[in-house]
Order: sequence, then structure tokens, then C-alpha cells
Amino acid sequence: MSSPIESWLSQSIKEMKDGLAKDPQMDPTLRVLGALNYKLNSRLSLFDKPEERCLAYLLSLLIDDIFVNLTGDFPYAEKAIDEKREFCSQVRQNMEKLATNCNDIKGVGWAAICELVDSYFTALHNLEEILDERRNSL
Amino acid sequence: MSPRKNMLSNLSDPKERQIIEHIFRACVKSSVWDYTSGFRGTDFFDLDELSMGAQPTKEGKVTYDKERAIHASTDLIDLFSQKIKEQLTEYSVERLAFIENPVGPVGMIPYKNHLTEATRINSCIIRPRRRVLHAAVKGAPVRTGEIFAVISDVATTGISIYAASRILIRLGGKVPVAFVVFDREQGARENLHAVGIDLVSLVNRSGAAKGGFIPDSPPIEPKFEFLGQLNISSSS
Repeated sequence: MSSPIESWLSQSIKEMKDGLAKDPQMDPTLRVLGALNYKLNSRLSLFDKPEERCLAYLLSLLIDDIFVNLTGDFPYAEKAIDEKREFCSQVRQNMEKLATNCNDIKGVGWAAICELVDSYFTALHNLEEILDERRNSL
Repeated sequence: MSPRKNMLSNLSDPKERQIIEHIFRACVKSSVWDYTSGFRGTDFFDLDELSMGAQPTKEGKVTYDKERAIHASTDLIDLFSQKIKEQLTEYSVERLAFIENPVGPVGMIPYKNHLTEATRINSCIIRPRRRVLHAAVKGAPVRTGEIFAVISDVATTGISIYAASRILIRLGGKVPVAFVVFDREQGARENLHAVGIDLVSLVNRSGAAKGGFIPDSPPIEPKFEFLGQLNISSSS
């Protein structure tokens, strides 16, 4: 039987893929991440194993940080939109890996989280460069 | 140029004293607190209480009154803006910068528009939690060489003001001064001075203690020199 976090991750990935298939122009990744974050935060007590609870907690912190930094009134730039789209694609890949390796948290599962964090900070770095370039061209 | 002052209020002026006494009565909470700087102390200064019309009762409770909120807030802004106006000119300040605080009291943000109107100087909001630098300033983009004054409610170690100033500096601005309502005298002035920022307060701990607004006892934790701890040189 899959753990809550495994089933939530799998369900979230399915929603993202279904959403994209339905309307390729509307990327639902962030919306689904937001809903996942709500579940992770509000149901931490559901996790029996400390490692799973820790994973849920760290994942929710990461998603929270993503929302603070990539949503809301972020400066507009065409390339920034492309970068965010690329980041969402990375998120889907990383989460898929995480969902299938939740039980191997010390091995492949942990590597999947590290890749997710790495994708996020790479996106932040790229966005900074895009906005630098835009400011210098003005 | 007149000598630069660290504390702006004149507690021998009865009207000024009355305003400041009211501010402290509304905003200072005793007991032991962990401040958002991580410091521990016995005088948590919550400016939000002023804008909600707080007043402690003799029985140790707090009542909230709308009229008191309006008058007290107006008094604070009138006094604060009057005191900092002269200093703003001396520092050639072109814009005020307010700090968004995701932890703890909202601070000076509710007074942003009032201060802009009173000083006739435009403002921006600094969002230290934003990791992308260009997204960390809400308002017009920072111009190279633009001079800012950071406005905050309290200074303890100066780390919050320093972090906000660093964002402006990295974007090309200059921050020669920060104004706060209350300086706890726990290292903020020294830390900020070391990186070229003058800290000017409406009231500092010594003044408040002398005026009888807070107990005249030393703070629980001593001054904190954060630059060395964070391995930051004054040139960075």
C-alpha cells in the first residue's frame, strides 16, 4: 500500500499531465503544486514514519519558497516566462522520480529531492540573469 | 549642516513627551520575548498595537479603541515626519524604503502612504525574502546612485535594516541613513555605522528609560556585532 505522500505526489503528477494534455498553453504545474502544498502542510500528522513526515515538511517548505519567489508580482520579461515554463517541466520530471522512489528516501528518493532543489535554484539564477539583461538593455 | 543626531525626540517638551509616552504604553509588551532578530529581551516593541488603538489597563489587560488608533497613529506620523524631514534634506534622500516583514509585526508599512504625503518623498517596499534581486524591490526600479532612507519600526542588531539596504545597494542605490521609531541600543547603530549607514531613532533605549517609559535595566542580551559573525567586511 502506498504512503500518503507517494499517492499525493502521483496524483499531483497525473493532474499536471492531464491538465497539459487538455490545454497545452495552460501549465497547471504551479496550481497543482499549491494544492499539494496545502495537503502536505495541513496533514503532517498523517505520516507515521518520521522520514516521510520530514520529506513532506521539507517539500512543503520548498514549495512555499517557490511560491514566494516565482509567483505574484514578478517583473515581466518574455524570456522569464519561458524560463518558468522550463522550470515547471523540470518540476514534473523531478516529482515523478520522487514519487516512484519515496520509499528509498536515503538513496534515489533523496537524489530526486536534491535535483528538485537544484532545478529551482538554477531557475532563480537564470531569471536573475534575464532580468539583469533586460535592465541593461533599457 | 547641523550636527547629526542619533535620537530625535525632545522629551523635555511636554507635548512630545505625551505622544511618546502613549506610543510606549501601547506598544511595549513586558515579559520575556524572542525578537525576530533572534535576540531575547523584555521590551517587545509592537508598533502594530498603536495602529489598533491598544492601551493596557491597570488590571494588566489591553483594550482596543478605534478613536485612540486614529489619534495615536496621526500623532506618531506627524511627530516622526517632522523630526526626520530636516535629516532627509541633509542626507539628500530621494526615496524612502520600507521593509516587508514576513515574521512578526508589520511595523512601518501601514504608515508608508502617510509618510510619503508628509515628507513629499516617494517610497518603495523591500522584500528581503525574494531571492531574485530584481523582484525584491516593489516600486520604481532603483536608479544608479539613487539615495534611499530605510524606514523601520525597531532596530535591535540592525540585521534587518542591513539586509534591506544590501538589496538597494546591489541594485545600484545608496543608503546613507536609516530611521526607526525605537533603537534598542543592542548593536544596531554600531553595526550599521560600520557599513556606512547612520541609524537615527525617534527614541532610543536610554531616552525611553530616562523618560520612565521602560524599566531602566540593562537588556538581557548584550550588543551583537554581526558583521564579524557573518564574515562580512565593511566593504562588502
